[in-house]
Amino acid sequence: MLFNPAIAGLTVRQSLARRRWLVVSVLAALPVIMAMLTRLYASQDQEPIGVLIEILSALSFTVVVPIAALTLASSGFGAEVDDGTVVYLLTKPIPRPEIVVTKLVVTALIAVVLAVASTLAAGVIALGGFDATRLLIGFAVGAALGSVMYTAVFLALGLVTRRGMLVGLVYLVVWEGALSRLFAGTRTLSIRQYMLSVTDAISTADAAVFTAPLPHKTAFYMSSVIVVGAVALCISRLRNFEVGQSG
Amino acid sequence: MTVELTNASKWYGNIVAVNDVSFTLSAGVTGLLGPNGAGKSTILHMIVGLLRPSGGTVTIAGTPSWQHPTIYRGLGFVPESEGVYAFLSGYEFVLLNARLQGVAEPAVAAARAIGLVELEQAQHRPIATYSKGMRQRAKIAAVLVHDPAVLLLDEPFNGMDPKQRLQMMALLRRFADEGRTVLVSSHILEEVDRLADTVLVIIGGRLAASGPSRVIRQLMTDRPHTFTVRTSDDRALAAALVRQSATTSVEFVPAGMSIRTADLGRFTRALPVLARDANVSILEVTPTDESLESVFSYLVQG
Repeated sequence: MLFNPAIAGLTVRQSLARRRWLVVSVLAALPVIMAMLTRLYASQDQEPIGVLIEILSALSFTVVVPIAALTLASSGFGAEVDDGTVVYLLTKPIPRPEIVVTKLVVTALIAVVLAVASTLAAGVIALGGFDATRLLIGFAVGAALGSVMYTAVFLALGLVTRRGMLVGLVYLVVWEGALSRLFAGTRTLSIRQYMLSVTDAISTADAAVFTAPLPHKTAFYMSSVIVVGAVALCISRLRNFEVGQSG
Repeated sequence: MTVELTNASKWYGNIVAVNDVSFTLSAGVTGLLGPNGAGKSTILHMIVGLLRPSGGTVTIAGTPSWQHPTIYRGLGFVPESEGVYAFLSGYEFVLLNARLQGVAEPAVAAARAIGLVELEQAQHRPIATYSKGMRQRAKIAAVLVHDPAVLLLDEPFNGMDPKQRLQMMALLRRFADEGRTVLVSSHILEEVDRLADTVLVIIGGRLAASGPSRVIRQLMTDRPHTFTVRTSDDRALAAALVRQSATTSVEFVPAGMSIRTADLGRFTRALPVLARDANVSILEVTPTDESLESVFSYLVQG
């Protein structure tokens, strides 16, 4: 058994406690509000597909999906190590992989539901009846996979450093933001680029309107490596976890 | 279930936190006594597998505690840390621990544990609203859910009022009488003295003394004590005091008299009688070396 219902219930409450539910709800609402505004105020010559791609790639994939995952995952191991509650999980006869997998599955699931709902709602509004279903599904799947990857990475980060939230933000802004625009090479190690590539792969029918810079195969392999690697890292860190030095 | 430390050490770089400590715990209450920073928590954390021993071994019923989560089936650990899931109610917190332990009937186990620490009244309030003592009791209830044979508590009486302290001591005594192994760390001699059958004294990361509670208490009280005494007529009382065999020395200091005694009990009984007979009023009696550190340092020398 790799899933523990007691840990699952705890994780749901932890990840939504301390007004985190409010933060992630506001984040998820942003693209939807943006889509409504553009529908209301956009000029006639603006293509619905162009608006959709702009909102989803620039807002959803760049801000909503990563920050929502970071917010939810920050309640995971990082916060538990900080406030000492991790001791209650660790002093139980539960195999460490079970703890990690349960936490990841539950946290990722919340992130996925939010990201997909937000993406689909914003997409449908932005398209306003225009048929681009495959592209929209592509973005939804991209958002879902991205949520899983970001959650896995940020959960692991919480066990590697006490500044998990900060390191996560720096990665998003500096690496995925600035550097991947300047240097194509950094795209191979960017979750945002994997999301775009997945979207591109699924929306092949509309190939002419949207293409991602990263090859699909690279994105597929790297995504798997990142999730498996993050899980392995979490398990190893938990197995070797030592409480802070004390009297 | 036996807890055994064999030459257990823990160091961080050049800093030695615990140095070559060996002892065996069995049924009954054992007190882990030492000043703050002596290494008590480090020893407890090694026993519960939350710290890897740098040297030596730590086993519970023969199984090394480091990286063996199965030991937690028979073990309960109450950390000193205040950290609890503040958004849960006391009952939810205890129930969660019962479910994490995988006990057969979590709700029954949780209700029973809450009854043991007498937290029924507040059990449905969020832990965030609890006093320190209530939090402590919720933490203890949480480790009782699976009926552990070994119970380890890090400074459990911190933040409790005297009444709660006595209740908790009675509860821990009961566990010991049921044949459980209970280890309690504390920096207060009276707590340990009142509760424990056996006392382990930890100073500077080393096991400085160990033995029955009565013996350790004698070691700590049968030693020279120094008092500063201020009276209406120091010299009159001094004359009477030097005739007492319990008095080792009398010295006149700016604050009054500094009196040293080898027999605390006899001296404290004699002092008021002598003062009355000499018609001297005692204005102030201050023990000058009663800090726990000085008691411990005496033990180490001894």
